[in-house]
Amino acid sequence: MIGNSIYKSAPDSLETSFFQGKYIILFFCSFWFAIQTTLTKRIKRNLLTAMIICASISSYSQTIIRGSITDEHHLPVSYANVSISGTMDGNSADSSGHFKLLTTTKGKQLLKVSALGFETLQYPLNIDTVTNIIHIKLKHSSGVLLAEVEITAGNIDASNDKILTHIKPVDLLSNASSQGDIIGAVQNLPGVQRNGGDQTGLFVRGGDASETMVLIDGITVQNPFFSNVPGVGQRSRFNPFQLKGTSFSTGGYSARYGQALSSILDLQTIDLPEKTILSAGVNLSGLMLSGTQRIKDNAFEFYGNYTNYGPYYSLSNTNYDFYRAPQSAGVSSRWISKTDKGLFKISLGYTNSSSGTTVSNPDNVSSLLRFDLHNKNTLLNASYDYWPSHQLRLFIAAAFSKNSDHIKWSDTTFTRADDRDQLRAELNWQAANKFKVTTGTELAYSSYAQQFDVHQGKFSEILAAAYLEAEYKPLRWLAFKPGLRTEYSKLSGNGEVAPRLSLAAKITSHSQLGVASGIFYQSSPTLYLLQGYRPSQQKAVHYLVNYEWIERNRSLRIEAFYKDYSRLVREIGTRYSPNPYRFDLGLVNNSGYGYARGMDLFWRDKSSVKNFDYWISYSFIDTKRYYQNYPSSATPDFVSKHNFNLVTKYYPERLHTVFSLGYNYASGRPYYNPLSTSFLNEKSPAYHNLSFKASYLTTIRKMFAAWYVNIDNLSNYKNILGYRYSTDGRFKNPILPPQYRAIFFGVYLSISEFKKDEL
Amino acid sequence: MKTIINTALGVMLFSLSAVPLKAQTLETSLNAGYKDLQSATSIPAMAEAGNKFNRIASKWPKEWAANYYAAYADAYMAIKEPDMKRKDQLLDQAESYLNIMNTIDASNDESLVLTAYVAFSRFLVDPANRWKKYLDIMNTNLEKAKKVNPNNPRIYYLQGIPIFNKPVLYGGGKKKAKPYFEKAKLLFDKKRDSLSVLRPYWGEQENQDYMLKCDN
Repeated sequence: MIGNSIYKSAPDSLETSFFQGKYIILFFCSFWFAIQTTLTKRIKRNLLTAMIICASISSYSQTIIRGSITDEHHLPVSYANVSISGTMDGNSADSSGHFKLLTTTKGKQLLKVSALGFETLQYPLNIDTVTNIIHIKLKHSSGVLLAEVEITAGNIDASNDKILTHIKPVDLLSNASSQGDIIGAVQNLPGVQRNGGDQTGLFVRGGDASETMVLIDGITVQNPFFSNVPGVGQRSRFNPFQLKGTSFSTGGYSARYGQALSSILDLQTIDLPEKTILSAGVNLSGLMLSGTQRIKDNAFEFYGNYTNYGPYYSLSNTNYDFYRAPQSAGVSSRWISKTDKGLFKISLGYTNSSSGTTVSNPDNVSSLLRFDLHNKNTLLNASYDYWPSHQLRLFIAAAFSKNSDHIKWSDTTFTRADDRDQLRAELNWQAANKFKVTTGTELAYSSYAQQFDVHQGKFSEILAAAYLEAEYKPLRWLAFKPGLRTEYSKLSGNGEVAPRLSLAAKITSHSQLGVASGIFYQSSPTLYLLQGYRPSQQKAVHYLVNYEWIERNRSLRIEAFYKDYSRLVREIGTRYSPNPYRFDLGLVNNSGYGYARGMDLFWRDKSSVKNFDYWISYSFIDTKRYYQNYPSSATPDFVSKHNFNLVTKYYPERLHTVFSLGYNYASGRPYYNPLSTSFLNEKSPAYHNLSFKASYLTTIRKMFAAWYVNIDNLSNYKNILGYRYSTDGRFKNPILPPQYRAIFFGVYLSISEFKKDEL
Repeated sequence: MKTIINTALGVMLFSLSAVPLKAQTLETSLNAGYKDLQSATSIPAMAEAGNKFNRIASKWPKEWAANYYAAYADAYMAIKEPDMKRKDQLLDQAESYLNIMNTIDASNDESLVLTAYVAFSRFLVDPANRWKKYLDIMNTNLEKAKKVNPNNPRIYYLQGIPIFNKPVLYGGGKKKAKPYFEKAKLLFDKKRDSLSVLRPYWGEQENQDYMLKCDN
């Protein structure tokens, strides 16, 4: 090797002034090779003789060391590796832990004993005096992969990046009771109220829809749902194919997040798509086309869809008269660029939607009104992830969104417009192996304007926040995460400090206990801000305890919580009216309060029956609040005391088909009866829903195809979600879901490019 | 000039005396260990072979090859080991040797291939839950290795396996995987005449087995 490198360097010296040197070196090299070969042979032969002599000498002075190895409980440790430290003198123990070792070393030595799953031991001994059998005891060590504690209180992650999770992204959407909507899917998780189809949004642990914040890649989405139609629940705007994971928190969340009293749903978009792919989908309510072009470490994606609920609604009876079926058209595109130390993503989406629905008149329930809606929504999101070293990560995200509704409510014109600009910058620093620091800042500007007939309202708000959070794992099984968030709101004119703390302790290799607490603030509902009221931030304090057990294919999660609401916005001196568009709000202040307490349970089993997977989630809640125009403290009309979901999946491999059956139960929700003796004390009947989905996967030539059929409310159960009363209480109308039994089917096709450059 | 010659002479004499001796012992030890590992059919025999590699790595802790083989042996044994828990323990051990190896030389194509192989072995313990994390690590390291040395046959052999095991429906299967094993075979054949344990050559037999499976 060395001879070679010198030989190679020789021609370089041609250019140097040592012109003659090359001959010397060339000569010398060839000479050296000749010498080397002859010498090596000789030396080898000599060496051999020397070694034979050595061996014969050493065979007289070899020592035999015998011993046995057990664990802390005196059970034998098999196949341990035993050697004299720094030498090759060693052997393996047998299956019963006995070993025999020959060594030529003398005097004081270290006996190194290592075995899988045990801590390595250096056992000092004196070779010259060893006679007896040595007894060695090894200590069990915790595995690297499994034993790491992780803070999870309040949080359920659906991510493929993590190994141990209760659910994976695919589980969320592939089941029967998710209706292909990420929000529908999240309703199958513990802590979430079942939405019977009359409301829009996520209702978490006694919180109303406004208390859940939806984010995409760390940025708040101002309008995550299609615009609300009174009494008809809306789907979310997200394209599930662009998501790689979701992180759903039902309380006690990190200092990264603010402006949400109850819950956080953080969606993560796919980083760099694996390959160039073209896909198309056709179903009962529309069509979509999407494409991904991978260009080295960059990718361009586009997505377009047209949705029209006409065919879907005409196939099953609807409980509402959709005189103009909801339809929407959307286009979006994404650019993703990956470098060695960074990832850049930008996406732009635009949706245009409209619908015409006959809804009940909020002023007079015995009559109906036409509700004509046109909505336009634009969302621009950009983020840049940069990691200059393994210890440091910088994240910057910016977004802009614009949303406008044009509504004709009978003859009255109703317009709403809002926009939002925001920025997040965050720095993650892995200061030490066990210590991580996250600090960041958020800035958001938003403005709202609304005109209802002659009533006009508008406001604009600036929210600024800064946060600092540390994660410290002093021991392998113990983790702390203290955090501090400060928030400032221009409208309320004051700042708030929100401390957060969570911790987790691993109790066995598969289970852990967690605790979380924190203070959370949220601005007043837009209803009040639009009319010029400027109440302070509302406040909630969370306390939660959880127990988690995750094995490979089974998991259990139990969480108990208490939530204390204070400074809720309340109207004083007004009569209760269930109308969300009311104007007479009286005197408004922050004197409202409330509480929520309960427990959630989640059980999943993927392995007891072959190819069969099911999960159960059950939530119990007891909550009351005195807020907005409530005349007294009461359980709100969106709360069911008991929620139960059973989601099953069966996938016989040979049939290439996935069958899923889901059952959802929610106990009755309170409804308002003006003639009742006390407020919100009557309850609707319980909600039941049985749903079924089958997907058949196949290939058509080079195309991948998935055919699916989804039947919601298989038993055609006539759910009643509550009642609407006339102001004098003499008439009542049941609140019904948009449909009872409903059938939906379609096909998804995709074709991907074979990577030719791979071979 | 004189100094150059003197230095060269010094270096050569040193290399003459030191290198062959040292290389022989590490190489012969590795060779012996490798043969034991290949021929081991029982758990005790495999454990003994693995232990031998551990001892080699503790004798030559600063040698790339010593740590390479200790990690390789653990990852190889993890695939054969039936017990799930022991599989992960073996891989914990493999990763610690891998870390040492990567501090010595991480940019070598063999280092990258072995990093991929250990990730692949991790993936095999629990494919349903680990595919994302570990196949990602495997693929990125194989891609990097390809940039360093596109003629390393183990890159294509390893790339072929997940494709072989992926259902035809999702773009995998025998037909799709075969070209990878063929490419690997071509490269294995080229190298056969210069085999030394210090330049890893494992995988040829396994690649051959996969090629047979592709045809059946």
